[in-house]
Amino acid sequence: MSVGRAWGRGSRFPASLATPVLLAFAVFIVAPCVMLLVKGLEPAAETGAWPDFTNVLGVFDSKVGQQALNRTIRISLIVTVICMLAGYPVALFIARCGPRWRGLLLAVVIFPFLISAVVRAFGWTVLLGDSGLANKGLIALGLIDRPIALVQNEIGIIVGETHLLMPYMILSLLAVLQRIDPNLRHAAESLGASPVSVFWRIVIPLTLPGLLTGTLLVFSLAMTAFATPFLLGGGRTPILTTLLYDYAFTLFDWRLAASIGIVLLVLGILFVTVHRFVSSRGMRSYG
Amino acid sequence: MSDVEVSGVSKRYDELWAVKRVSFTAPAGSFTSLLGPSGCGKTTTLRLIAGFAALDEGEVRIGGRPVDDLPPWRRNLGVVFQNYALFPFMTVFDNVAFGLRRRKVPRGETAERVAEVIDLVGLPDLAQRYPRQLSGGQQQRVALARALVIRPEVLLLDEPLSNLDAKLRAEMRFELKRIQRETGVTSIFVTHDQEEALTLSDQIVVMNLGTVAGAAAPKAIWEQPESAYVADFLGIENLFPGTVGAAAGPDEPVAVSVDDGAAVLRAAADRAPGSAVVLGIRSGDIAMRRSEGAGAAEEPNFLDGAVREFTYVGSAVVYQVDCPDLPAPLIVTAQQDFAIGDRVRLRLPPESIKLLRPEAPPDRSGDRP
Repeated sequence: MSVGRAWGRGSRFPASLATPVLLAFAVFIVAPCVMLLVKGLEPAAETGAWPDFTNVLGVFDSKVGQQALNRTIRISLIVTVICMLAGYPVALFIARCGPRWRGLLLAVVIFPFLISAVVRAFGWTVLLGDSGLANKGLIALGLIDRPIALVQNEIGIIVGETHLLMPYMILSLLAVLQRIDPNLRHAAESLGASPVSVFWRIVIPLTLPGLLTGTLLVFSLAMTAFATPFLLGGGRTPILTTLLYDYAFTLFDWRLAASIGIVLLVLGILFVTVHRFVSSRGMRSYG
Repeated sequence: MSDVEVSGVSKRYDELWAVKRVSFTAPAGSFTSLLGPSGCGKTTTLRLIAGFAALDEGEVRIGGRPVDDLPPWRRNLGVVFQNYALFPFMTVFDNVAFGLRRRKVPRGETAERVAEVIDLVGLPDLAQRYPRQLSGGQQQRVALARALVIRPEVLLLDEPLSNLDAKLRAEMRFELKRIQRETGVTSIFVTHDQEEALTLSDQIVVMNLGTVAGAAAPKAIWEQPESAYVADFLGIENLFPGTVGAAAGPDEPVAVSVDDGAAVLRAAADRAPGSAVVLGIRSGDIAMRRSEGAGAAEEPNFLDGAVREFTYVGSAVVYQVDCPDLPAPLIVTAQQDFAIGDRVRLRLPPESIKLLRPEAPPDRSGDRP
């Protein structure tokens, strides 16, 4: 008996090992998607035929739906850009640290994952409230006269989601930063590149794959986040996920809720497709 | 062209001195090899010259000018790395042009100089390929072209041939020699391969545990290594500690008794009686024949022994011979065939026996280099 045969192509062993996961996939991912499509495209009148797109298109017609869609895209983009700009220096710093400090800093970066969304949102509500540390600090600095609204609006959602999603960006970047051959930097330096030039011409292009992974993760997670925008956004700043919740559990209109689900799904697929196109063009030379 | 003077350079990493009071001069236009086993400080020395690491003591001068305050990007040195370190996301052309673009060389001149250097290193037309699409040998040539295109004052090479297979390595050795001769650039070459160092260099600096163990031209270092360590690294197979006895007369060979053995060998060298030495002789310098009589060897520098083991190396056979008078088996290269257990008589010519300086390993710890 050879090991190669047991594990090689045509062997049934690996396939049988993957079966439980594939089954779970079918039950918990494919089936809900099918149900979502069935419900969302259900005809409004008893006589209509499936699929009926009026509900889905209706999301764009209503003012609240339109606003939620725009807000979702806007917030997701802003959060992605902030995570990119703020996360890059942090990742760069951690990558240059010695192994002991690196471990400690990584733990700090991952820490938000360990706190429940509710506790985290409550913390931000306290910090960003009218008499919170943020407002008091801004007043003390003389930048504002009286407290400004930092929660129960888009600012609150952006702060909360940035806090939640920053680790994904930092970890994606760190994965590529730590793999960079230090000789590449030395080679560039010996050829006359100053550290600033090395950063823009060598380090940035080499970390592009990590940057792309990070944006994909952060954007799609920002778009589909629920608890954080629900708790920090208040009732007057609905985004697609919170609007979906309202339709399903306040109005009990499952068909409308499913339509929003379809919009989110299409948006996600659209983003991934554009992302893949950009990546494959940008990555052509990376091999 | 510029010479490189390394004087009293030391570098410490944590508790150990990676490089300790290293001094040597690479004359302008010459090819100098830093030779030694891994961990001897040769690559660290190269990195200190390049400016990738700051030295703790000493001075590096290039063309008479101290460079210790200059960052690497102002030193105008070409560096070729062991793993080539080509920029993976750039084409061959962009890799080679990188240094020229940092120097704001005009477009037309850049294209001209890149084409020129690509021709010099013998690369076919691959300018639009990416590094991963090239073979190891081609990547090697691109790395060389990239380092040479900036017309560096000094070319630093960090084991550039060690990742190539044997045939390509031999070919690239000739290529490197030709390119160095054509450009006349002062070159410092780090290697652990004594053959590479011998074939390429004008000067070999042998390093041991962060210090210079000896420096000389290849022929000199081959024929009369300074110390037992250098001899060992240059492939002198037989080394035995010994003590010098009295000479029979002026211009006569001195008799040296082997420590821990009964053998007394004469060597054509001048040493004070009583001094401790290491006797060294190459396997190829020993003559071996079957011993006919049962009587022991009476003449000087003859030893009796028995073949213990042999290995066939193509051009010759290498034998391990047990000699009762020596503390360890003798390595002998011969053309004739002997079988294991054959009684043999060996002659060690006095003029082939080198008397070498025994050497205590340097201390790498401590506060001072």
